[in-house]
Amino acid sequence: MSTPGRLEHQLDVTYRYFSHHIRTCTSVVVAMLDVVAEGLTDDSMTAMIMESGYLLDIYDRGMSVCFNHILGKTHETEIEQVDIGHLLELYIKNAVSEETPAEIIHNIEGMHLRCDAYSFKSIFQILCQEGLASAKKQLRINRSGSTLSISPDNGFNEVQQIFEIFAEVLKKSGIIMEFDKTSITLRFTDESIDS
Amino acid sequence: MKVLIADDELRLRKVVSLHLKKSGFDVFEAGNGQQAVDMAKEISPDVIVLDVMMPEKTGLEACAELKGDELFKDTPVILLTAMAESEDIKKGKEAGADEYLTKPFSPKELIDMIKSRF
Repeated sequence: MSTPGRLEHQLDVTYRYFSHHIRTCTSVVVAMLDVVAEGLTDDSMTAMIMESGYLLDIYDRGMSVCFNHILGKTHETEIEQVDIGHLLELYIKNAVSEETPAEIIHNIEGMHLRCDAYSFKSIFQILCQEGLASAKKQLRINRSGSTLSISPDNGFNEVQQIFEIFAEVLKKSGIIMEFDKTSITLRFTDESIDS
Repeated sequence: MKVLIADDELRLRKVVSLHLKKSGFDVFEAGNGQQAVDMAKEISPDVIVLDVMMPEKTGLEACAELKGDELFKDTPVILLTAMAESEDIKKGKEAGADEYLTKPFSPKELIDMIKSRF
């Protein structure tokens, strides 16, 4: 059980992190709708609205996962098999702008994981988004045995305080998340992983 | 009139730039706080728009650095932020910001705010 000081800190970190991202994505949609209203749209602008909408959904789910964890709310955990390669492809297709300067290089096709799917899917995509935001030219997502690493070429801009909360959430699924300025690693139990 | 806009979110930068250009401004874009400071020194903008939460240097740090420079002490700085609480507004004012716009904002609000400065 968290002490009141720690609880307040974790709530504040979560609120600030998600508020920033949700409000930024909403700003893109609001500003784009003004452009649409003036009939100045093209495919890239429509894509930006869709990408921001997809990210809004991920951040909303991530926020709910974190608040539920911090407040100790029990939810019915659905242990499902997640195709991580497919999840990454979905993220790239729906959330990554064609204008993003960095490219995602990975070797996780066919990697499957049994876990609390709702939490994992949200957090994994948010970590990819953090990695991509930091990467200059390349974001590497590599599997080595039962470990997956997310490494932007120049390291992360910042070791976000929210990462500690993500690590606590993932730990409940038996996933060990470790992070520093250069990379984030997710270590899975051998029996949960399959490819 | 030259407007420098700094935000690490590429999509937001692009769409706000589009609105500003349509209103007749010359727009320059920076992807983080340090880039904003460097670019300001290079182009001497008439207005600087800074997101608060940016890598390498936050908008608050960039604002404080620019406002502490004789060259930019009179250049209006508008902070874009998700943090609407009074404590955050206080930090913005301490950093020397002239205006504060809370996300999500309408580009028209930003344009009106810029125009009201001249």
